[in-house]
Amino acid sequence: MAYETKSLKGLAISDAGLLFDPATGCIYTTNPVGVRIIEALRKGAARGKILDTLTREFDVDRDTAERDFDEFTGQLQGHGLVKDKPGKAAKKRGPHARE
Amino acid sequence: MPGNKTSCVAVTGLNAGDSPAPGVPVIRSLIEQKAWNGRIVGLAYDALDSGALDERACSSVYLLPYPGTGKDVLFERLMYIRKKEGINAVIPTLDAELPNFIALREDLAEAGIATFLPTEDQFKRRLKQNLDALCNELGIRTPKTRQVMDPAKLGIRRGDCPVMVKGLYYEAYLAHSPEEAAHFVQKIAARWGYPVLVQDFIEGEEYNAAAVGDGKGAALGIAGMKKLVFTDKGKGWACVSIDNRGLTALAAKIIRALKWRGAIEVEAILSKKDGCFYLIELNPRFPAWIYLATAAGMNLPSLALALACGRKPKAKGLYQPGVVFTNYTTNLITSLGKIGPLFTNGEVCYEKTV
Repeated sequence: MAYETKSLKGLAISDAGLLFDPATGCIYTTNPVGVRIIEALRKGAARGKILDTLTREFDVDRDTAERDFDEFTGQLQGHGLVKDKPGKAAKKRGPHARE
Repeated sequence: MPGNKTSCVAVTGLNAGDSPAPGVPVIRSLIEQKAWNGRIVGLAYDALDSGALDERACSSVYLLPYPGTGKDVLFERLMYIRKKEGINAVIPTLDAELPNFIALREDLAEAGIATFLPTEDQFKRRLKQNLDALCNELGIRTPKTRQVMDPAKLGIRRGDCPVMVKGLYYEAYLAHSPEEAAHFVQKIAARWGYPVLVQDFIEGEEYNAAAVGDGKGAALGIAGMKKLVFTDKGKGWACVSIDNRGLTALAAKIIRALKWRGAIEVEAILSKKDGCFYLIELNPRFPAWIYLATAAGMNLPSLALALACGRKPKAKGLYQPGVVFTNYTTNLITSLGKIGPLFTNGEVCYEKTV
């Protein structure tokens, strides 16, 4: 799974997890895991790679990392900060969407 | 003129209460310039306008006649103040007083008082009741607006609601039914008169920009802002500076098309439905949040003053998004002994009081 992260790339992010969108003035907060996910998405990392990073850096099992990642990216999508890349959206609904 | 010790600038709109006027933020922008050496003369309509009691902002304060008394009375008063204080520029900041100041532009210039104001035609074209026509002409989206002269003839159906009900100068309310709209029409008309405007409600977030136009079509600076906390009147209590290309382009387009002269505030809604900006108001003056722009690196009042004084300041582009301001109320202590002359004589010079 890959994401369109143009809006995400414009965000100013503090180490404390404060996100500011200079174009819309919207302010969000997140935790260190969220910051790490956003940093990885901004670098264009794929879902599998990000999950590897989360399990390694935050000492969580794969299922927990998947659940948290999907919930968080769902929130980012809800705020219009990420989108599924064209042509990739169908994959999300497929049987191997989480791979 | 900033840097010139003889500079003396008069600024109106000194009420700094729960719905603050732009005067004090304009003054702060001027006096915090590095090169500032001048004096500020505050022009107030009430002796208890809170900014009029702030001797950090004003060297002296004079009461002005209410706008309804007309331009000749205003001119006479300004000539008196000119004689006493040597003011050589004036920055009016209130909608209701602007027609008089605009009508006096040439007389004031002849008397040695510089202004940098829109023309009468520019002022009229952006009036709320003319915004529809202006936007049609410029190809800018705006909510449909109806002028109402009689609350019994609103011309809206239940399906049209919610709608915004607005006064020509001040006040705006969101009405969820024709009955509520009629109530707000009566309420606004009782205070500000007819027509009252009924505007389609655009669901979305409001974005504002302040700018200064050079009168030839160029914008010398455009500063964007988003409100973070609202007062019950919908004013921004806390705001953040933003850099939104769509908003900046909208403001630049308006200034270019109108060849706008002086300060302007662009208020627009970014529609949730179609993602487009809808222009809801053009204010022919600095907004009350103008000190945020100054704090973010764009001192628009100083640009306007430089233009008023015949300078050609360079356009400013550097503007830092993410700067936050919040209003906060505190107490300003003075004494009746100090401010007494403002009540009795309509003027006070803080430099001379003890």
